[in-house]
Amino acid sequence: MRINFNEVSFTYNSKIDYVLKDVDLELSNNQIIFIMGESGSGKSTLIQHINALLIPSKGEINLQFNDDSFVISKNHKEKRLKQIRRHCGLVFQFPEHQLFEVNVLKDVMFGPLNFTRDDKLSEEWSKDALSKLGIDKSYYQRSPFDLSGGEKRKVAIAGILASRPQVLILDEPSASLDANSKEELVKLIREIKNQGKMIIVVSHDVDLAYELADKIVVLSNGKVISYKTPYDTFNDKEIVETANLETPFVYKISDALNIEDKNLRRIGDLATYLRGKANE
Amino acid sequence: MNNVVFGRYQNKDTLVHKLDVRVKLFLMIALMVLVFLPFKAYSFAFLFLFLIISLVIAKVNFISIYRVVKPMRFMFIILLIINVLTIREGRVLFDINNFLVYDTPIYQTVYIVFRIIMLLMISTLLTSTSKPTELTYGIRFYLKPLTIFKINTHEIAIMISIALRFIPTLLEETNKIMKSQTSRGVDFKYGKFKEKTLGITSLIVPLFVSSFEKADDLAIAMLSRGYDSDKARSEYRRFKIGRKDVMSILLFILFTAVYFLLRRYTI
Ligand SMILES: Nc1ncnc2c1ncn2[C@@H]1O[C@H](COP(=O)(O)OP(=O)(O)O)[C@@H](O)[C@H]1O
Ligand SMILES: [Mg+2]
Repeated sequence: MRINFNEVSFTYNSKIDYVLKDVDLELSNNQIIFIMGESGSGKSTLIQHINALLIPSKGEINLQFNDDSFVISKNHKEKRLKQIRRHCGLVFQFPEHQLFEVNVLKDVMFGPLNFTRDDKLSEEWSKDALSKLGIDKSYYQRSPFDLSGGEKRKVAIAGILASRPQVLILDEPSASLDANSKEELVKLIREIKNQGKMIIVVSHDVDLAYELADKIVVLSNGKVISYKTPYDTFNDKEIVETANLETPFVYKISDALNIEDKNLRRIGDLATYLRGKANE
Repeated sequence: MNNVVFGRYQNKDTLVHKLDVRVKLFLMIALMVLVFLPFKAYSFAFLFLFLIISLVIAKVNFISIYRVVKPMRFMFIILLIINVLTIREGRVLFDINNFLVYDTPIYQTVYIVFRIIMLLMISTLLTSTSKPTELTYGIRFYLKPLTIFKINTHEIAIMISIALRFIPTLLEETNKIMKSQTSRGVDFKYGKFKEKTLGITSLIVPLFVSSFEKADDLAIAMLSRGYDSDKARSEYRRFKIGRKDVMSILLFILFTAVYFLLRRYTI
């Protein structure tokens, strides 16, 4: 699958500046792509375009899926917006605010039911999604409003996964999550990637990005200033400075030790590497 | 739903912004009374002109008023239809298959629409030129006489200004939840009736939940910062009626005089 941004510019209000400026991007295959940048740089605006919640003021977006393709632009009135939304699952920041049903299972089934109108299938997909997020049967009949913050977020993410999108987009999924839930999130993202899906994550968490991303898009003031691998992104001092990015822990240590191995992305990898060196 | 500015304070430096909030409140209420008097063409045109000029002076964005009026157009059309069907008097305008359409219901609808637009103009004029804290002060000032009846006027004023303060926040929240339900497949625009009703539920429930949470947070934040509704507040701001205020009131009296003269001598 492929997502192409062609010279996309966007403004919420023509009297205000453009929030996105001439964005050219090609996201392809089953990669994990991180979108980073300061608050207000346009990250959320960018990803809402993929879901056709926002339509470009200028330029167009081409979506190429396994079995279908779409064009989103101001002039081309795409009527199959619902299909696009089904293929591109978008998890908003603080998705727990969207919960509304009487119980967890029903809430997760809401999306797939809207898209498929098939009760049995929706139930199967929903249970599957919930179990992927570690939410077991005992939760199905509970009210979503009685859950803890982390559990609510998992249910909300399951609600998107349950529609089986080909592209999963997460807007700041790790914001205000505890360490445990974050680890589960990492596992989940890896697992979804292994199913051959594309994952787009908006995040401020540089360590998470360094560990998980295949590529990082850096936005600054509505412009894409870099689209490279994690190592190359953080190795470019100009980009790090312009976008005001922190430096990932593993990169910092490798840099200090003058290790130029682009494959060291986790603390575990780094430890193994250092142990190997010590034994030599 | 995007870009809603109605009800939100616009920080600008104009004569209207500088007026004392008590004077502004008084003038707004007086203007609303004038709007509610029986319709007379010339006097209403004059009133409309006065409002337009005031909005221009206050640098209020007309698009913001248009955005509020636009979604009401269906209501206006339904009103017109009901009026045409129920008010059966006046001159006959035309005849559709033996159904006579009279002119009175059409005039009546126009009057109502005109009034609603003028009321929106007045409330926008007030809320976009006065800070919520100023409004609280102004409302409290006029509620002061009620303290004789042991009514806690400060509490009422603070309730009103919190409500005003939350209008834009709620609209933003609505927009956000609408978007996230849209990405779960709700079609608020073109969906079938049943889909739409379910869609509305998926919007209203989270909105209520988050409103209650916000109200709770706000109450706790106010308490933890020492808010005590029973204690008399000390004003840390001195409001003073100045020359601009007196001039505006005089101007308004003059305007009102012309308005009533027009009512008396024209149609
Ligand atoms: N609904 C909206 N209406 C008007 N302006 C908006 C809206 N949403 C975001 N913006 C503006 O667009 C810019 C980019 O916002 P956003 O995409 O949310 O940034 P990020 O997600 O990177 O923090 C900001 O300046 C923000 O104020
Ligand atoms: Mg954002």
